[in-house]
Amino acid sequence: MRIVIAEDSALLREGLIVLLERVGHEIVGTAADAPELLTAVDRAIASQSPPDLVITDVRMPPSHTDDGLRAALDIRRRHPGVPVMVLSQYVADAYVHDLIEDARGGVGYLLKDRVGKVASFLRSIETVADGGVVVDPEVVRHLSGRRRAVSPLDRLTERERTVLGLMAEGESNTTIAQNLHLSEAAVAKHVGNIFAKLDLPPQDTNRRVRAVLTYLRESTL
Amino acid sequence: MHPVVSVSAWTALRRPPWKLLASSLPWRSGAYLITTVLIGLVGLAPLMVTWFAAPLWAISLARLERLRVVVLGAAPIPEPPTGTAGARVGRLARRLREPVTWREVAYLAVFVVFTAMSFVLIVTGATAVMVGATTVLGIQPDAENLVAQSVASLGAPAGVVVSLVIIVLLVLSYLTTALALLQSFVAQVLLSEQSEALARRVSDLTYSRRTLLEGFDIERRRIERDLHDGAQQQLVTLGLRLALLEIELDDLAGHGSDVSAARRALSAAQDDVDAAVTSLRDSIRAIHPRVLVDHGIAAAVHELASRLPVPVTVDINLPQRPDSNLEAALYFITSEALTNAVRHAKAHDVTVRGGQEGSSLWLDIIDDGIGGADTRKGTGLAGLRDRAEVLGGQLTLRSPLGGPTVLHLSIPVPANPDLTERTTPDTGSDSNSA
Repeated sequence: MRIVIAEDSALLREGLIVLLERVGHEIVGTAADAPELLTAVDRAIASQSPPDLVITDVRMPPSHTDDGLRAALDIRRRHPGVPVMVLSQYVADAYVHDLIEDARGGVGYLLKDRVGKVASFLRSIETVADGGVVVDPEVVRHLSGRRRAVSPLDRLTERERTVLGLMAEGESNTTIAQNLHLSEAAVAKHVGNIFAKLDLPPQDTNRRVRAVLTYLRESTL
Repeated sequence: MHPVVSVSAWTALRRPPWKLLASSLPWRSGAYLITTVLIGLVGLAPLMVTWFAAPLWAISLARLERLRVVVLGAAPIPEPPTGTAGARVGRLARRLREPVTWREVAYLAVFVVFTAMSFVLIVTGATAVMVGATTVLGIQPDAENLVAQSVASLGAPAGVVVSLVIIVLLVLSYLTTALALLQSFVAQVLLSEQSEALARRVSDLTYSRRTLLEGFDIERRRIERDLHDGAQQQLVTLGLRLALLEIELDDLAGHGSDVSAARRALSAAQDDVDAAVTSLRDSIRAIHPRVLVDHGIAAAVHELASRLPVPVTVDINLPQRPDSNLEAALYFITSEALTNAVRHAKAHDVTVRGGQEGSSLWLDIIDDGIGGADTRKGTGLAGLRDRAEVLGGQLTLRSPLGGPTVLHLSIPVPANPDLTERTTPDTGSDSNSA
């Protein structure tokens, strides 16, 4: 897929480019700060080859705070449907909610260290590029047990919430089954129950993303 | 210093008369008052003419007067410290603005009164001595000797006159001693280093202590930035390179090569890199957490809470971000308190609340653990108290055996918002959520 990368550390940016190209992706734009990222995305879209994914560091120049995250929100606003994977230093960011509130999917939020776990990182970017939602396990762990006072999540059983948490981390039914030592059929049953309890009708094609978004929205950091 | 003199003056005057008179004190007092009068008489005319320069006269007089108490057997009064560095003109201007200068001017005014009183005492004493001498020596009155004339005009018997003179001289020596001690006491009070100088010294020390702490915080942030932008990025990149190697090995294996040994070595290297990244991340967090710098105390405490094995309710709402060293203090105090709650108090539930009330920030950390915490035990809590006190704050701990433990911190915030570099509002618990 075609990827735009924004990362202010030249070393890490180079490392990411080499890795992504090695596994067969095409880098169509690179940026070292937030304004460059916006330009790179605009240019890629203008040249009739819209990126399949934008990967951006949160903490970048010019202000070295959450410029990358704000740029990501900006990109989502200006070019709806461009998937964005955000890499952060920490669990909590002021604008994460805005990113996740975007109900269209195609967003990811991972802790930066995760890029070292290459296999799962590559899986995560595939999920996001396909319109899924991936949120870092540590963030999800932080979310679990923190819900608004009245929440549709209350209708879920403990097990179903665990399954939904793993879905939010971007796991497939297969990997969830492995994680929880369940059969895939059992996981599929839990997932079906989750969809039903969250009032997601079978004709909805993107129920998985919606379930995850509901989970994230109803949990507060 | 002056209490020492006043006490000794008081005891001197309460001594039996023969002891006082046998001591050197009345003589010293006489000498002190005579010099007072001499200085007064010499200085009065120039002062009258150049009254507008009274502060300068006062400064010079004060310098002399601090030394002159030596006549009474006291130690010289130390010169109060004044900011007298720098260019000559500026130095004088600054000296004139010192509070001690105004006390010196006050002393000059009082000195005039003392000169007059001393003058009266001395003239009286001199007259009494002359009357006595005239009587004892039997000097005959003549046209030039006014004293002898007046003595003769009294017509009193010589014995009565001499007794009266002795009584007058005794009373005078008491009055002289009292006046001299009083004047030196006033000199001590007005001319020595005063509470405002002490207060200034304390505020200087407080300032330098605070500056040192700020220096530490700045240094910590620099180290954190260096590690974060340098070593951490390099380690993560190293992890990526190893992952590339893994991909290449998979390729080789696909072509039928035996890569199992290489794969084991690589896997060990990857574990090492993971461990290094994790431990570096923990170190950086302990030195100065990035999230604190970027997003303020509420977000940083959320992040802190997310790593604890017990549920922590965080509710911190500040109208604006406090300055960075105050933020750091709040963070490290919370961090230590949370660690204590989990490690020592074995808490199952912790609440961190914070806010601003008027001009002070407050923070409560409440846990349902076993209690019994004491700021005197161990260095952790004592260190927190020091840290709060440096910022003018107060830390109170209530921790009965059996719990709950309530740690309350309140720290004044500078009234001047210019003191805080950043004006980004510190988002509260809800707006920091993800």
